[in-house]
Amino acid sequence: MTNHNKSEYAKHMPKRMKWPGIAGWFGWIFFLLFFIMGLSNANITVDRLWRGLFNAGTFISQAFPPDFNRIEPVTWAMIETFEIAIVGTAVGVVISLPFALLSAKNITRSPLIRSVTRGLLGVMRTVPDLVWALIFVVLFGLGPLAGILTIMIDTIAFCARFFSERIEELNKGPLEALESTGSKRGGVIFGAAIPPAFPSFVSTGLFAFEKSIRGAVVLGLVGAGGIGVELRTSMTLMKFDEAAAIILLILLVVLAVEKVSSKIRLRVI
Amino acid sequence: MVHLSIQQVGKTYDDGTEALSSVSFDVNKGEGVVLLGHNGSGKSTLFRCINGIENTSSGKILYNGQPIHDLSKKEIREVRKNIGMVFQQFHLVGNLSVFQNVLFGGLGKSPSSISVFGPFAKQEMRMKALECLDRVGLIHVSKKRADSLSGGQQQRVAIARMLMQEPELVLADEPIASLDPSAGKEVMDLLWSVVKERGMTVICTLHQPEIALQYAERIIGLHKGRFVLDQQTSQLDDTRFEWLYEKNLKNLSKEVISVD
Ligand SMILES: Nc1ncnc2c1ncn2[C@@H]1O[C@H](COP(=O)(O)OP(=O)(O)OP(=O)(O)O)[C@@H](O)[C@H]1O
Ligand SMILES: [Mg+2]
Repeated sequence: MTNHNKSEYAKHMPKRMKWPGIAGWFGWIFFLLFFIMGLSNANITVDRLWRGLFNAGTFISQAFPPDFNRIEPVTWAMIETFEIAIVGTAVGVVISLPFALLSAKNITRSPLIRSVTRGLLGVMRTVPDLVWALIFVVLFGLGPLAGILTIMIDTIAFCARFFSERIEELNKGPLEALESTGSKRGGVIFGAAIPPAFPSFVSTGLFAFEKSIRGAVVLGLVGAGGIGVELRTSMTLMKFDEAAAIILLILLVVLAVEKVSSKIRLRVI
Repeated sequence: MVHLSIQQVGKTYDDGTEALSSVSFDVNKGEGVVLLGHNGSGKSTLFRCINGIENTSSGKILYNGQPIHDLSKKEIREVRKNIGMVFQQFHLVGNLSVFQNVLFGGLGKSPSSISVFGPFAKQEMRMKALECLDRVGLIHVSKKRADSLSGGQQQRVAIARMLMQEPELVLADEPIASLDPSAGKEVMDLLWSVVKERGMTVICTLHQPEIALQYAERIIGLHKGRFVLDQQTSQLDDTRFEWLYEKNLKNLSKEVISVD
């Protein structure tokens, strides 16, 4: 037995089963156009690919064995990178907390304050960190300060978003319970909003630190302090064996940081 | 002496749901009232209006003769300090210690919030919190995480938090609805005895009329947001309340069921 006219069946068909509409077609054409142009502008020829492979051979043969002669200044530079990451992340995590609270629906009632905060975070996030670094180098000169500020901005944008999502999914019961004692806003927030979200703060903060240490390495390339400067110098001077030593050191530090941070994360959660 | 006066209170939520309409009753100081009513009859809404989490749409609520609608945030906080709440889901902060949760009861009344936070808590606050925990028989679990306790124990911790607050009026919203019968009895016994020994006024919502009869001095009934029953338990002749849970109440005006 059927209840519907067969001519109506079509409208019960899920979207995916139909051909794309006009906007969909335009989307596809747009994508294909740029894809093809991109490929052709990259000048990919068999010859170039061969040459690249050949250069890789030269690079590797010159990079090995790595040259550890400059290990002392390089280590100091690595320490500077590490410091940039630690300071930038720590300050960023702390500052991201008020940002998160101000952009969370269940904590901040005023839509105006929320959208202003979200707007600020949006700017921090959408401007790429190398661009921030270039700006800060212009403002504060070459060196670690520009790196620290860049990492800080990066961390605020990253953490505030996760923190506020975590805060928004809090059970509102305990918040209401503390509010009903006649507590001021601060008491409610520090009593019933931050403690339940704390494990997630720590874990997000550690992720941010892992991200920062990789980010801080790259920042050196634009002069914002740390080991990136060393790496760029070795590369431009074609001292590939020195570069190899630096890359090995970076690898070691990043791996160690990830290992330690995942250990801490397991313990907190 | 009238402690709480609900006068023609109506509440319509923003989405158009009329949760309360023209509810009126007075509660005297020290009275023990149980509020009955089907799911969605407006019991929780009434409580939320009394402590100012929700605004009433019409009518007045007087606390100790003072109107509590249209108050500034600060004035509302002053009123809340004297109203203790107990909730169905306990509403403890799960990953903090039992002790810390009880301390939070002092948030409103302590001059600065920081004096109820762990390492910053003042000695007198700590002692008082332990006293409250002792009163509910849970001082031995003070260091445990709140969410590691059984439901009955968590509700007793919530009662200790309420005691820490030293309210004059206690609003308990289905305090035993998530508990098994024996834990429920324990919690009701405890709630009623602490409230009575301290001369507090209590309004408690329940879904079990037979339990209401064991504790209440007075039973009030809501049906679809209307006030339909108000009786002293001592004067009750019909102790069956099935009619209160029926979909449609026919021909039942307030006069019919209220004795006085
Ligand atoms: N925040 C809200 N927004 C809109 N409607 C609401 C809101 N809270 C409650 N209501 C509605 O108001 C009516 C009364 O709800 P309320 O929670 O006060 O009833 P209750 O008597 O406490 O019910 P229960 O026994 O289930 O706890 C219901 O119809 C409910 O759906
Ligand atoms: Mg309810």
